[in-house]
Amino acid sequence: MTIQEIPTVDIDETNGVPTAKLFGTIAKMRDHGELAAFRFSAKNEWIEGTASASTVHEWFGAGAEHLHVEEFRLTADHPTLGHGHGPTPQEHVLHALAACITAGIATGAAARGIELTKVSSVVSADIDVRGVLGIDADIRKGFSEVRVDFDVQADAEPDVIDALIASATKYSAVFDMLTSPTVVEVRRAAV
Amino acid sequence: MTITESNTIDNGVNVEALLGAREMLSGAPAAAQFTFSATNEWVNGTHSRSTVHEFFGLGDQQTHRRPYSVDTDHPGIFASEDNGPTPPEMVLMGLAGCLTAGVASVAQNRGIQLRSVKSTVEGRLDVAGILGIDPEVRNGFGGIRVRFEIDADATREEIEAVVAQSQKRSAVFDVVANPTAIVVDVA
Amino acid sequence: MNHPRTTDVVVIGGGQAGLAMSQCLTSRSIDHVVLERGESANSWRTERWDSLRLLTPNWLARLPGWSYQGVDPDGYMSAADVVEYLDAYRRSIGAPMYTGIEVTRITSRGGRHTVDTSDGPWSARAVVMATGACSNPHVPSIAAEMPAHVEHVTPIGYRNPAGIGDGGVLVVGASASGLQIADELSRAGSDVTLAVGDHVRLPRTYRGMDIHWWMDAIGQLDERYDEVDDIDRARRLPSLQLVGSSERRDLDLSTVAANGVSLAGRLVGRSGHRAQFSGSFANMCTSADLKQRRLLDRLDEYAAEHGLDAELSEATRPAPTVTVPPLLEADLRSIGTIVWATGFRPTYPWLDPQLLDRKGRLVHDGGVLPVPGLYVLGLPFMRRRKSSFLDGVGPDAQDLAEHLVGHLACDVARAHT
Repeated sequence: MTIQEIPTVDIDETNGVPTAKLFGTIAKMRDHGELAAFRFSAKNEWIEGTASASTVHEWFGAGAEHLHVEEFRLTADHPTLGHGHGPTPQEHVLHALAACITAGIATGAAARGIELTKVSSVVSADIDVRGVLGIDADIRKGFSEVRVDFDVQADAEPDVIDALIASATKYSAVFDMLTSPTVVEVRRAAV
Repeated sequence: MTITESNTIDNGVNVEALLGAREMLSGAPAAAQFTFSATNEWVNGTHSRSTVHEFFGLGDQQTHRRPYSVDTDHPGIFASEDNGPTPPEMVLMGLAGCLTAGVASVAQNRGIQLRSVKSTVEGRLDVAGILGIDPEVRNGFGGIRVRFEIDADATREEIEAVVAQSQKRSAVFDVVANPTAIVVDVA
Repeated sequence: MNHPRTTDVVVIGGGQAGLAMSQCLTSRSIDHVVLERGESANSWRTERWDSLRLLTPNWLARLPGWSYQGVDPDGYMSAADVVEYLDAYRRSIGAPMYTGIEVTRITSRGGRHTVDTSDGPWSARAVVMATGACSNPHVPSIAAEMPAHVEHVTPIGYRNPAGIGDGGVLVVGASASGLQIADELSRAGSDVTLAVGDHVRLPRTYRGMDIHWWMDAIGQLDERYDEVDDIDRARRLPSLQLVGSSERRDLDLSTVAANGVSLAGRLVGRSGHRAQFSGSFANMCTSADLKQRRLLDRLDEYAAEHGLDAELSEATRPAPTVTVPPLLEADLRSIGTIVWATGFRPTYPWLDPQLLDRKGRLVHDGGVLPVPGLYVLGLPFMRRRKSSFLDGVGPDAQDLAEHLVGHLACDVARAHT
């Protein structure tokens, strides 16, 4: 079973989501569970100080290695203590959360035949930096709370939109990896 | 912790400022309350664009040097157009960036000169969760692996200690490894 | 080896499902026996906590040829009441019940089924498994990660606050059982934390009528399994956050929190001495509130369509769940007991494992197993949304009895060709 065998004919497309193709992919994976095992990866290279650049290009899924259409590159830094090379890594995570739920809203709306006109959101997260700075061991290093506020305009009742947002949140990969503990294993590569 | 000989090594981390901040913030907890934020705008399909510019900290509104925008999307297999990395990949990038920044700071603080720091971050994702195929599969990564390649003026043990300490100084590591409360509302 | 006794149908289980099936078979003159491992209505005698009352009002306890005739049709029976109710039913229908019988194995060959028991084998042309939906509590694998000092309890083993040891209590699961037990323990003085995942909340009464009156009226309880979009999901829904009480009080997260219960997200891990809870609590509450709102909207529509607005009181909507920041962790050193209100997964150790799916669930189509002559009764949303309720086994038993009659007739036809 290869990615080429997954149907590419799009019968219809809502919100730019070709739903038939998506459902086709889901059906194939339902019957062949091993196709659902994906592995994403990023490479990072330190620049200077607190700045580094991450790239993503390769990924594995549906039984094969793949490449993104191009190598995507993002830099990260710290605003006050860094040199302004880029947003902070925490902000990358906030991007990821908003984008993940947004993609879920678009897909979920498409599956229900709802046309979206606009989806925008503001994510904000509180962090007491005394945690990362090692000033107080009782303060966690990361965010104490993350808030995402959505503005969704669509041809649907407010109730339906609320349900769309709640559902996209519940099934979001990034929402899950942040709300539940995720095992992170950090090691030095074997020389 | 004592300040080691930092005038002989330079990883680009302003340790004086860092330690100064620590001292200042110990006595002024309110100044330590930061709020980061991003705005996101849906483009089409699974493609959206986020921007960061302002944040709050040290008791005041702050701004980045300039707005930073990032596109995210999904690759073709998800019936998308691959306009940017996927959100899970962005989390990996954030994690790598945070740990690497931590490595640089800790190394500087310990007087270790870094020559190069590279890492590969991998996350396993069983998409049967997000695709609604199996409710017992979690939606996020089953596990994340980070592998550092560090060339530095230090013993293997010292470098491993730096890597271990960087995890304790990483906000993103904490947010991913431990549960984080998220509230999603309609504006 | 004992020579098997013979009958047309063996019914396994002497609770409401087994008795309902027995009545349906008797009324069709089908020869059968009912095998019960304890005394009749065993689980109601031995596996319910002291203060338990049915979630459904008494008038919704209809069985084939039987209904509540007592003085409190809008009240909620206790477990002891249910035992009495089912005992009277059993006597009235003259169910051919054998008690104290443990079924050990069912083997099917050539249209006949051999049911091995602790009292010797039976040979039958059909078997109906009516052991119920709550035979085996499901305790998630995370339980094994908890420290050794913690006592583990399930709703089946729980009786009353006096039976709970010292220390804080962590109740896992915000279903009806979880909420009721958390509430009772907190009011008795325990330090209770409730871990909340997916849940369904509803008011006890709406516009003056019991919520089950509404669900029955709009036909939701009779919704068929083949009419629902995602039947697997519907079958997995946790029990409604309700309690049966004479005051008809509501039971939801806000009320238990007001009674001293600390709310946390879903239990998701253990790290050292800390139990970890998901940060998704707000999303769980929002989802439950939205679902409740949608149902109440439906009820209002029904009332308007049927001209009931004049008789019913004004619609007062329950307040959204109060979501103060939930606990993300708890210190396991101060937890003495964990109550696992995490649902049930019936097991069928006497069945060929090939009849179960890879998760150990019975494979069936509305109660009809792929092996001709094997049936199951009483599972959640088996044929109807109310399949696992007292009021639901009757209609399902009638359906399966009809199917069974057809099976026996084919059997006879085959024997004569």
